[in-house]
Parts: sequence; structure tokens; C-alpha cells
Amino acid sequence: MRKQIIIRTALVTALILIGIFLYVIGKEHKVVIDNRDISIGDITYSASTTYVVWVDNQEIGVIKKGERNAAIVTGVSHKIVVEEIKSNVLTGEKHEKRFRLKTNESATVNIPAIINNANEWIDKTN
Amino acid sequence: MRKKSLTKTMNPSVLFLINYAVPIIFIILIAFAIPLSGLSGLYFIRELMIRLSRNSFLILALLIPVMAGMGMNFSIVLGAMAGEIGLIFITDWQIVGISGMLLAILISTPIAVLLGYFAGIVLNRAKGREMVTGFMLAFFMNGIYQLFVLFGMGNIIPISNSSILLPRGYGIRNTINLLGIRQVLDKLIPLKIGDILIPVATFLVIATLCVFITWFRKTKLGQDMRTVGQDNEVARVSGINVENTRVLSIVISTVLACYGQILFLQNIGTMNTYQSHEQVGVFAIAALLVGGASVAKANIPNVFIGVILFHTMFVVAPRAGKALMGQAQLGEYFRVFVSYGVIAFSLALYAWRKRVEKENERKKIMNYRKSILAK
Amino acid sequence: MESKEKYLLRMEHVSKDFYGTKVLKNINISVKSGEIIGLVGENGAGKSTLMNILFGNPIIHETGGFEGKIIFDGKEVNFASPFDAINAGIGMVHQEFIFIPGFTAIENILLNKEPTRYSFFSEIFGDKLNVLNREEMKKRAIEAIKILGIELNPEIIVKEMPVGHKQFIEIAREIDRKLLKLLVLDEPTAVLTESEADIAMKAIKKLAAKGVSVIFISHRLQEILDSCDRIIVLKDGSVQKELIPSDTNPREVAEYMIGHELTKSIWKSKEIRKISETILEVNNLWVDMPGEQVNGASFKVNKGEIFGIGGLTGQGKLGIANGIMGLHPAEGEVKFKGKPIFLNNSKYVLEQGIAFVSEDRRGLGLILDQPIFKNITFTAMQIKDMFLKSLLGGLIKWSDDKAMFKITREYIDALQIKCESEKQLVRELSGGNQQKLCMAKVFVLQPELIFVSEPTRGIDVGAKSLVLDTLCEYNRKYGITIIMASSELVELRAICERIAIVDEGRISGILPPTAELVEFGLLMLGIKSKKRETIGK
Ligand SMILES: Nc1ncnc2c1ncn2[C@@H]1O[C@H](COP(=O)(O)OP(=O)(O)O)[C@@H](O)[C@H]1O
Repeated sequence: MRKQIIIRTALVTALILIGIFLYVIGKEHKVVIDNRDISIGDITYSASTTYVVWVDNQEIGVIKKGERNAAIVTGVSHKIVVEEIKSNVLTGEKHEKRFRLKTNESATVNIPAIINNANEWIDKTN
Repeated sequence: MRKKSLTKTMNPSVLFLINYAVPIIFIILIAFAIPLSGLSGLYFIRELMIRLSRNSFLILALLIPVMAGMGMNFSIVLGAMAGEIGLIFITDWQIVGISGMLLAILISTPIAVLLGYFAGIVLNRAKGREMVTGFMLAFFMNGIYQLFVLFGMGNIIPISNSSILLPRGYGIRNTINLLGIRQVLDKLIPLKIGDILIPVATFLVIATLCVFITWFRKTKLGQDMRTVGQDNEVARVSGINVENTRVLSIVISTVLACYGQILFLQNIGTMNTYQSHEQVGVFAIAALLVGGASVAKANIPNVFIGVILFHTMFVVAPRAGKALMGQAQLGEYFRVFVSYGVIAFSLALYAWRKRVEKENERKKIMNYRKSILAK
Repeated sequence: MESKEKYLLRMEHVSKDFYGTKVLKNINISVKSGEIIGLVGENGAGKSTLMNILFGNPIIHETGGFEGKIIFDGKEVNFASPFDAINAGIGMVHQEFIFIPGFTAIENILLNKEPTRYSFFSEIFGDKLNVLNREEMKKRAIEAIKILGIELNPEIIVKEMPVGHKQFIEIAREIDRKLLKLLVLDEPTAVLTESEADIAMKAIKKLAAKGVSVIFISHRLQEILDSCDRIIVLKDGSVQKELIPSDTNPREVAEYMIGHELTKSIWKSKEIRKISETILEVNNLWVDMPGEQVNGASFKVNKGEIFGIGGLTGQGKLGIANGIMGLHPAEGEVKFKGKPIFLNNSKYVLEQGIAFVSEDRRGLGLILDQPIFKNITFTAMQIKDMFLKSLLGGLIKWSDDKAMFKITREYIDALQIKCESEKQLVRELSGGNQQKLCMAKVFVLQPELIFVSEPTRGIDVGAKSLVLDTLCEYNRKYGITIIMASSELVELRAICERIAIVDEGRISGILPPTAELVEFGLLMLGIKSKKRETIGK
């Protein structure tokens, strides 16, 4: 009897934990990708060219200078890769960034900031 | 002369025809409709594959109450509602993919258990009239569900995702797009044979359920259910808690139906908030009956034969209808009509057969008494 | 102390009343280990009540419990439910089969005591999710069957078994209980053939030899005498006598059971009329009435007589009328006024001039929520087109209320039915008056032959004699032949000219009302002698 109560409690707890886990890893987040000028502190990084963007190995598309696009990502840790396009050819110059999102967060990333390795290339909001 | 001729001992082949009248009629109809429809074999197989993966689970959910003698469980609609509530939540929270589906299952399970428990208690009050009661109960609970989803959600239950809320700020929209989990299970283990996508994972889940049901029959609880199903009173005097056992069978059925509905909707990809569950019971029951099951006896092969025959009918019938009458608009109405027809016909047939069997049994005992007592 | 230890069961000063009526009075019974006790008594003697007390049947608790104490296996017990009694080691084999026809013998023998194998899911959902251990089940079933000493394939579905074997399933089920100490058998052999009953009795003796005590309730006196160590005779709720089979004979047992006669005869009219014309001839009648089966009864009834049918409950005395009247499936040859009658057709039989006052007044006899006049005239309207005015050559018919009222008033007066008016609802009448109404309803049909079943059941003493007098009066005045089935020998012997006793669905003999009481008793207990069968031929 005792044993059964313990097992049942453990099971229910495990199910709740699994539920939370599923919530976290299944949660969708919106990531807006800006290819625009950005000022962080006193420094301004300006958008200069077009980029192809991949988020979590999915191609989001081409973002021209001054434009933005959005990606829907699932789960916690993510990777964004941008590659420069000059006169319609991929230059092979890739920049990769990793980031994590908490359950209710969405994010805005800025390509010029990524290119310049600025610390605050990502802006997470709830 | 004036004797009722009901008791005539029947020829076994006639009995077979009577027992399987519904499937036989379906096979004959389909045999005529297939050539008329002019559908290609490939199209046909693809459709069948989809229907099998979509519907089998829901129909399997019916088996356990049959075992417990409660007939066709119309209250699986309650399970379907529970599943839909789970789906509404994950859509609101934007949980997607397999984890979304699993979370929906996790959330809706306790709801299904509660609803099943409630249904079980109601059905216990209506012994012998379970089917009609279940049918009415499904109607009644549909009302409660609508109230809950149309007024409760967004009011009492916080819903933040405006894309599923009605513009007025509370209540769920008529249709919900389940893009996030659309066919995630079907495509989890990708396998394509030629042009046909085989939903391997879904079939695995269905196979697991079949194993579960087979195993369940062998458990003590399964045996109790069979006992209760055969004779309430005998079960009671041998110490089985009849009421409890019956409630459990409905709970299990409701929970399975809940999963079945989630599986069904992940395949479809959109949910008709207020209608998706409405005909779940009727279609599943009709399919099972077409598969050769009766109110008192249903097994796993009945489920698959049923899905194949019943849904083949709906794949070919509209086309055949078009070929015959230039009309393909039979669609949903035809389906509902046929389903109710099948159910009514099967029930009538079953009642009649039961009477014949009882009479034969009585005759047998009487003859036995005669043979031992008469000198 | 020592002498007490020997007894497995002692019931001391057990009394019980149902709503003020004492049905058991200071019963003292003790049963030794391995002893077979025969418990006999008339219907209503209190056998079932006594066993219900032993088993802690809920009906006993619901009706206020009982007095006295029960000591079982050295401890005082008062079981809260039959399941507690079973767990303590008391088993019961019922008269009616209690098993699942669609299950195999194995499954039935081990019903709800199946051995199981561990399964992981039981940790979460409880023991019910352990898996049945089929091999173990089979082993245990075979063991139990072996003790019974019969040939029986345990894998066979019970429905497909010979009927005689079905009873063994239940006995085997009890045998399987490892801790079985006391087995109660309630008419276990009633449905068995003689050879099967022999096997069953042998099995029971074997069981007793192993130390299991047995309480054996049966009306087959010979069986009791043959197999019991001691016979306890119950009468009117007390122990009338304890007998040892070797020191007694059937006649003595029957006498103790039925009682001695106080007055020599209660036969009312002085002479027995000599009637020779046969009105009803029944040959080899079989009726399938649950609990009242008739197995090939044959008898003749003379025109104008009152013919009684007696016997213990469940032996088929009620089945005869119900079968002939088409209320339960029947087979056999029935001739009315020399003409064969078709069975299984109530309307047809009624049309022939045979009517029935059913024992089931509320169910079959009367429509409780209808007024008196409708009840009295309903059947006549249906069968004989009485009380109908017709127009256009019978195309349109409507009821003739005036005629209905008139005839109702006549019968209310004639039978002294106490009511406010002919429009009063039947529900509001007393039992006795309802019974008279049932009779009026039949008299209206002007039948030649009436079956009357249990005419005085559930009505008070004053009304009883009124009902019987009415029957006599109509018999004498109009020459209506009456066939009356009743559990009360007293009333049969008061008004019937010949009384047939039914045992196990057949007529075991026909006696004149002046015959000795014990003679009736012996017939009821299935003991026949040549001498007694002479009358009535
Ligand atoms: N539940 C009950 N309520 C009222 N009276 C009862 C009940 N059960 C039995 N009796 C009465 O108790 C008496 C004994 O009945 P029973 O024990 O059934 O006798 P037996 O089994 O010997 O035929 C009868 O007069 C019967 O009417």
C-alpha cells in the first residue's frame, strides 16, 4: 500500500515535470531579424549589404539592407547564421551566433551587430 | 400451426449471413461502387492509408466497454472533447511539434478521466439502456463544452493568443489551425513507398494500443469486465464490484478516445472547435459495426475491417454517385445517413438475433429436461 | 469446554422477526466437523432465513438483525456480508445456477478468485492489473473436479456443457476454496438426474470425509435419509425435531415436517360428489416457467369439480395453469371437452371458455390505475366483444358504459367488494378486494373452467374465507369447474374434491381431501406408494 502511494506520487510528479519539460522544449518563439542600423550606447552599426539568414538550420531568406524578417523557433537554444551576399553572390563570409530563450521570451536580433560582434546583438523581450 | 415459428433451428450458413449482414451488404455495395468510381488503385491505397491511421485509434477505444457489457460507448464524444480542450491549450501556448502533441495528451488526460468517470456514473444509473443514455449524454456534454469554450475560455480561463480568440475577446474561434502539430506524428518516422507516405509512427502507436487491449483482456480487471459484461448479477454475487468495474471501462474508453481524437486532428491539421467531436461517436460505432462487431462482441479485427469497409465506402461513394447521377454533393449528409442507418439496422438485427438465441437456448434446456425426465 | 470445541458451528437461541412477525423462534443448531446435516421443512418454515442469518445476508441487517449468537470455528461471528462468511470458510451452492454461460469451466470455477501473475502496472493501478495465471487456474480447476469424481473437460464453455454438469461447476467452485469448512447446499440436486445426483452426493460425502461440514437443504427426502448424518426438521420457525436417519422413516419425517392433524378433517361439504364426465385432460405437459417448471404432468379434471393442485414452492404447481393459459411456453397435449387445445396462445384459450385468476394479481390480473368497472370488463371486451355497441355492421364499435356499470354493480354486490363506487381506482382497494375483483373479472367471461392460483396469498384471514366461499358458491351455482393451485394445504383440503400434489414438475399423486395430512407430506417429498395413486382414475 505504502509502496503504491510512493510510486503513484512519483509518477504524477514525473508527469508534471515531463509536462513542464514539454512546454519548454515545444514552446514557439518569434525571432525578428533586423538588417538595419542600430545604435548601442554611443556606437552605431550600420547596415551595409544583403544577407541570407538561417535560424536553426532553416533558411529564413534574404534580408536586404534596411529590411527585417521574422523566424518562428521552437525550444530553448538556437543558432543563427548569416552570410553576406554581394552583387548576388554568396561571399562565404558567415557569422554564427548562439542564443537561448526563456519560455515566454521573444527576440530581436540585429545583423549589423552580429557582423560586428557587438555584445548586445540580441534584444530579448517578454 | 399456431406455434410461433421463431424457434426453428437455423441453418448455420443462414445464421452466418444474418450475423454478418452489415459487412456483407457493405462488401457488395463497395464491389459495385469501385468500378463506377473509376479511381486509380494508387489513389485508393493512399486514401485508405490515411483513413486507417486517422480513425483506427478512436474505434479501438470502443472495445473495452463492449467487453464490460455496456454496448457501444457513445460517450467517447466526451473523450474527444477532452482532447480538443488539450489542443486548444497548446495552441494558445504555442507549443508545437511532438512535444506539443504530447503536452496536449498530458493536459487532456485528467479531463478525460473526470469526464469518463462522470459518464460511467451516469451510465450505471441506466443499466440496459447505456447506448441511448450515452448518446444523450454526448449531446448534453456538447452543450457544456460549448458553454465552456465559447464563454469560459478567455473569461475564466486565460487565453492570450488572439489568433484563436473570437474578436470580442473571449470564446474560441470556429476553426483552429493546428499547423504546429499538423501530421507531426504521421511524419515522425518518414517512409515513402512510391508516392505514398506511410505514417509509420502513427501505426506504431495504433499497434501499441492493440497490444495493450490484448494484454488488458488477460488482466484480472479485464476478466472482471468480461464477467460483468456477461452477467451483472453473477459478477456481483461472486464479489466483483460491478459498478466500479463498469465505470473503469468507460474511463479507459474515454481516455483512449481522447488520444484518438488528438491523433485524428493532428492528421487533419485543423480543428472545428464546435463540430469536430460531434459525429465521432456515430462514425466510430458505425465503422465498428460494419466491421462485423455487435453490441455484445467486438474485437480488434472488427476494428480494421470496419475502417477499411466503412471508409472505402466514403472514398468511392461520392465518385460513384457522380458517375451515376452527376452529383457528388452527397458528402457529409450521406455519411451521417449511412452511419445512423448502419447503427439502427445492426441494433435491430442484434435484438432479433438475441431473441432467437434465447428461444433456442430455452428449447435446448427443455429438450434436455425431457430427455432425462421422460421415460 | 471440550464438548463445545468439537462443534464447528453452533447457532444458539437464534430468533428473527420480519416487521413484527416471528419467523424464527429460539433455534439451537450445532454442526460437527465433517458432519452432513439435512435441513428440512415446509415452505416458510424458515430455512432460507436461517441460512441468510448465517451468511450475514444484507436483508437480515436491513430488517433489524437477529437475536441469539452464532459461534463458528470457536469464535462468535456476525458476518456483515456473505463475502465475510465466504472469507471465514463458509460456502454456498445455490439452487439456481450462478455462473457465466460464456466462460469455460475453469473460468467459472475460479470466478473472482483467479490466481494472477505480477505485472508492473499493478504498482500504479492496483492489483487488478495483474495478469491471470491461466496454467495455475487450470490446475486448480482440475483438482476440484477430481474431488467431485466426474468426467468433465474444464476447457469447455459452460453453455455448451450438458445441463447436468452445470451444477457441478458450482460445487467445484466451493471445493476449490482452500479454507472451506462449511458448505451449505440449497436444493443442489433439484435439476440433476438421479445418476447425476448420486455422483453429487458421493462428492459431498467425500468432502465431508475430508472434514468439511455440510448443511444440506433438500425436499428429496430419500436423498436426505441416504446421505445425512443427522436431520433437523424445521417447522414454523422452530426446530421441531432432530432425527438420525437410521432410526427413522420417511413417514415420521414427513409427520414432523407437516405436523399432526388436530381435527380429523376440515373438509367442508359432507359428501364427495360423484362426477364422471371429464372436462379437461392433460397429458405430458411441459412448461417452461422460470422457477415453476412443469416436467410432463398428466391429469384429468372432472366436469364441475373443484380440483386442487398442491406442492412445495418451485415444484411446478403454478406452472400448470400458466402453461395452459399460454403465459409461458408449453408443450404437450391438452384436451378440453374432448377437443385438443392449442397451447401458447392466450387469447385462443380464453375464447374456448377457460379463464385464469393469476397468482400475480398486480402484474397480470389488474390494471391498478384504472377504475373498477374497466378492470372487470376489460377482458370480456377483448375476448368476447361484450359491452360494445356496434354500428354499421360492426365497422364502428364503442364501449357501452351503461352495460359496464350495470354488470360491475352486480358483481360488487354479489362478491361484497368494498369500494366507494365502480369508478374507484383499483390501487385504492385492499388486497382481499383486489382478489375478488380478479375473480369478478373472470366470472364476467362466463367461463366453463377457471384456473385459480394462490387465491388467498397476501390477504387477511377474514377475506380468505370469503374468497374461498365465493369460489365454492360459483362452482355450485353455475357448475363452473375450478382448478385451484395453492401452497396452503388447509384451504385445498377445505374446498377441493380431489387434490393433486406436484413434485419436481409432475403429479406425484392425487388424494381425496379426507386423506391423512402426512400422506400429502410424503407426496410433496417425492415419496410415492402404490396405494396412494389409486384415487381419481
Ligand atoms: N424479507 C422478508 N420479509 C418479510 N418476511 C419474510 C422475508 N423473508 C422471509 N419471510 C417470511 O419468513 C418466513 C420463513 O421464510 P423462509 O425462510 O423463506 O422459509 P423456507 O426457506 O423454509 O421456505 C416466511 O413466512 C416468509 O414469509
